[in-house]
Amino acid sequence: MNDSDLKEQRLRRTLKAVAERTPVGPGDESLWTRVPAATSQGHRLILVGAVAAVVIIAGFGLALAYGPRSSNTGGIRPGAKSTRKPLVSSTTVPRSSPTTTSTTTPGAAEVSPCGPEQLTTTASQASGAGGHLAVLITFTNNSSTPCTMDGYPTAWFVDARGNKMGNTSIEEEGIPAPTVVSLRHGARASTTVWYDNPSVPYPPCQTVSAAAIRVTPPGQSTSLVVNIPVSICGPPAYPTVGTTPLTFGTTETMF
Amino acid sequence: MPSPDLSDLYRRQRTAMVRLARLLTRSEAIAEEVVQEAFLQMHRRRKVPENPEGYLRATVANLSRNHIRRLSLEQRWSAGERITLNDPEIDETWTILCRLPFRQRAVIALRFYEDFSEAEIAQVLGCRPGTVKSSLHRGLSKLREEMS
Repeated sequence: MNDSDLKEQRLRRTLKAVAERTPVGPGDESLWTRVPAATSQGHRLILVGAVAAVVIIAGFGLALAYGPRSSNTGGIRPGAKSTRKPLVSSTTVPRSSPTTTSTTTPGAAEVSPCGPEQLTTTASQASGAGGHLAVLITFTNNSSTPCTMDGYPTAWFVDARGNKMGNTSIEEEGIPAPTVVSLRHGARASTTVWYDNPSVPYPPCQTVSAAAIRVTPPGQSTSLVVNIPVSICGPPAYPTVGTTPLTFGTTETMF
Repeated sequence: MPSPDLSDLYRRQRTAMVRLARLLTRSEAIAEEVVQEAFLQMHRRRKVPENPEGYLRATVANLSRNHIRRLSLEQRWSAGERITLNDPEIDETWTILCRLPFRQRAVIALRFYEDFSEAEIAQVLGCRPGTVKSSLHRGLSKLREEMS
């Protein structure tokens, strides 16, 4: 906040006032010291319960996503504009917490992460905010096999020859938080790629033209090129680029 | 039984951690719960980590983030729970801070309340220094725009 000491002072005053608004009591150590350690039976029971809950929820989610569907699916093809809205009903399953990531789902169909060969990618200019522009990148599952996408794609700008321009994207927390997105045939998921607006230079920059964005789906090693001509800050500054977690559908994620 | 080190840490750091968690979770009640849970998690570890203060602070930040994520998913948080101080300038600034995404608010709190460097903030939040820099820049830009 170098352009306004007054605002920095106000920010500091606010943080201190909120953090120290009321005195923090002495606390009660016994609240946690009485709890048995991790290896105890009690904790194991909690863990088993959590794992069971995850299995049930995941099973229910998969049943919803891949279970029998009503008869109106027959005539729908991906890309047929007039039938876009009822194309799919996908289910997003909240990402499991760190304590349960090793959980497997016995009996449920294995759904693999979407590979680049399964995906068709499109890009469109989104609105952006707060000194940043944004491009919405949409992934469509064009294969007959359902697949999942989870987390942050990686992206960077390329020139007309396909050479990388500037920085690889950072992960930008968005709303909603990352979830596992299950994609049936024809379903779409999207990420918002944001970058510094070259018209609001900070620091000032010379603009250059990017021809496309190269994007790697989460957890994959092969990237895809999506053509979209955009003007970005050139060397040496180059823009900071970020991606938001993949979400189901094609709505820009605010960041 | 808790190790003497952990009891000592509790007495020395609990107040500071609750204060930080208030800024991160936006709630006094949740802040207490988050810090309690952080100590519980450390208690469950077989041994105290090498840098207990750092580990504790990172755990508090992580648990606060989990809490905010749950709220985002459930859309439960309402302005009614907001901490107010009856000082228009402070209340306005805090309202703007509350609307920032978690990481931007966390970076601002660690930078301007704890006076941490960008590298230290990256360690607490478990992200890259570049992410801290951009989050700080974006958070402050929004604050500047909206502060009257």
